[in-house]
Amino acid sequence: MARYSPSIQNLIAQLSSLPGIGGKSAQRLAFHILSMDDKDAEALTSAIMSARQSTKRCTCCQNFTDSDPCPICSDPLRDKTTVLVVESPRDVSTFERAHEYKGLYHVLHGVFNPMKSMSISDTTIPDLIKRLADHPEITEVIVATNQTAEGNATALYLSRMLGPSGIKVSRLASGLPMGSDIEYADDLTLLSALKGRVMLTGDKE
Amino acid sequence: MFIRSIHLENFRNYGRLDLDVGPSVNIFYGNNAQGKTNLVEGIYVASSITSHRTSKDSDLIKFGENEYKVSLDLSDDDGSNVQMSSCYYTEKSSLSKYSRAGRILIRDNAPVDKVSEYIGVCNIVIFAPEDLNIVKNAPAYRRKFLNTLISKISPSYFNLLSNYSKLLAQKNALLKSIKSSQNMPEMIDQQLDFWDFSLAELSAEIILKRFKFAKLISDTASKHHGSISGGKENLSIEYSTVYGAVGALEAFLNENCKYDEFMHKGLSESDYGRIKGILSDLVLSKLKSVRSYDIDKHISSIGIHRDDIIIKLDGLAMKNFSSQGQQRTAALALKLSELEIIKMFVSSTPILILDDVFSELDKTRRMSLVSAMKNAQIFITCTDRNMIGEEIDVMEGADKAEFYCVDNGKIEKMA
Repeated sequence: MARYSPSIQNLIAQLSSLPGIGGKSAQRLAFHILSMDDKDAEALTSAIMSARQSTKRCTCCQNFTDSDPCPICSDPLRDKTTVLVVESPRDVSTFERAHEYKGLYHVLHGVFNPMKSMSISDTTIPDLIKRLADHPEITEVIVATNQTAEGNATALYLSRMLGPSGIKVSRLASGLPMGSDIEYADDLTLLSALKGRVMLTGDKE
Repeated sequence: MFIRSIHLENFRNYGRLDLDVGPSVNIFYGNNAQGKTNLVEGIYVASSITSHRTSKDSDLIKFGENEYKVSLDLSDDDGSNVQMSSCYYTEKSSLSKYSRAGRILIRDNAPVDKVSEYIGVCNIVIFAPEDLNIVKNAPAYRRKFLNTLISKISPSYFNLLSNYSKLLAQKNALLKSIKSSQNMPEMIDQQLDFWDFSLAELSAEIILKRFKFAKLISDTASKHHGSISGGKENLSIEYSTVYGAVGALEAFLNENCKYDEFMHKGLSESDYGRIKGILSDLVLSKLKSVRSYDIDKHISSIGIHRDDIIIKLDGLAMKNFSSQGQQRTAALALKLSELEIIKMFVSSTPILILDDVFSELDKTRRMSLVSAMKNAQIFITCTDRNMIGEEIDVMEGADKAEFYCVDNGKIEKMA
């Protein structure tokens, strides 16, 4: 018993397959799209199409970009000796928002996850290894994968793989968020903050 | 810490139960199959999430119902009040409040996402006929005993374990997929390396914790065993893990004279880093040595998920050489050592449950059990209140003992 015509059903099904959109939201969006002006609806479809067609992965850092190499990789003011490894393109914009990091990036596009049928070649880890071999000026790799079991495994793997090459591998610190009360921190966060504490006086190494 | 009231909903044979209990000794008596064990199981599940009798949450739901809920109102030693609830929803339950099926943990009306933040709050030690499994059954029972004990004391251990099992599941998924896909052999090596590096690292930390606690259990359990059995036999416990790891760890500690430091205040960061490195390299090399076997069989044949503790009586493994009575004594000694170790590390007094244990023990064993229980809230189940009069008299707080009659899922407080 179809409640809507097949074309509307199809639109709803397509929309609800997007992340963060459930059945109800998909219905609302679908009817909003149907009630839009032709002009606006065309603008939407062409925006989707042109984003799909004109963005590609930067051959260097694998981030989505309109031009290859991407603006970050081709920026002469960037520090070419440091590469920050992140899981998704969104993480790049998060770091860029802070305006503090001046080096380059490498986007993995996911983590190695056999349970979700993600093989290691679905990520850009092999590209990273090749990039480091091609660019001897890179001396430090900062691993900024998420603080999950898989993210930590990725970090450890990279450190083991890159160890013999002499490239420094570091991992983002984990612990207390800024401006937070210690009272509300959970045990694990607190433990990790304690392990990764920073020396203020005395021998710094 | 003590329980002020217990609330069960659709749990085993209870449709709904709200019961206020006394702060010292609580005795539940009644005929067989009336719900005495179900009640104490409810208490245990509310504090420790898993049951001591089954690993399936769905078994705990009352027949014909779709969800269960168990809650405890507790008072801590410092007088503060805590409320803890553990609920389990199946796919069929009408989910008004929570959008997903599965287990929901609530502490003081706020949902708790991390299991590790829930299980340490209220410590319960349960003595039940099932304890015998620790001595005579499969290694999984002994691992569960060890894991539950360490998790109660160290939340980070629980996190290590759950990370380990996540990564192991990933590696196993990979091993299973190798048959179907036509990967290049070198690619397989590289992908297995990815997981083995982390598994080895986590294994090293888990081995260090387990070794320490197995040693603690061995020391305390043999003391208790001596006093129960009159010192005629000697109980000892050996931790058994990935081949060579225990030897390497002991060699490291002896060489550097760090044994006492390791057992008591913990190693310094640099020593910890060194031994962790030694152990993880060892585990990694062992994992690599069985790699081709694992690929053929699609399993992870070695690792800390296969650990065991060997319980020995006068040097002989009890699993193979012991009578029922010896096993029962050993199980009792292990549980008493669990209680002692929890008291060593946790400031609030653990709550005790004695589920139908008196009927299985002789008088000396009953008395040594009773004499180990001091200043704690105790829940006892038995079939006849007159049968345990002698033991109750010895207990502290016996004058404040409260009696409850359990009859077909109904509980009545008796004078």
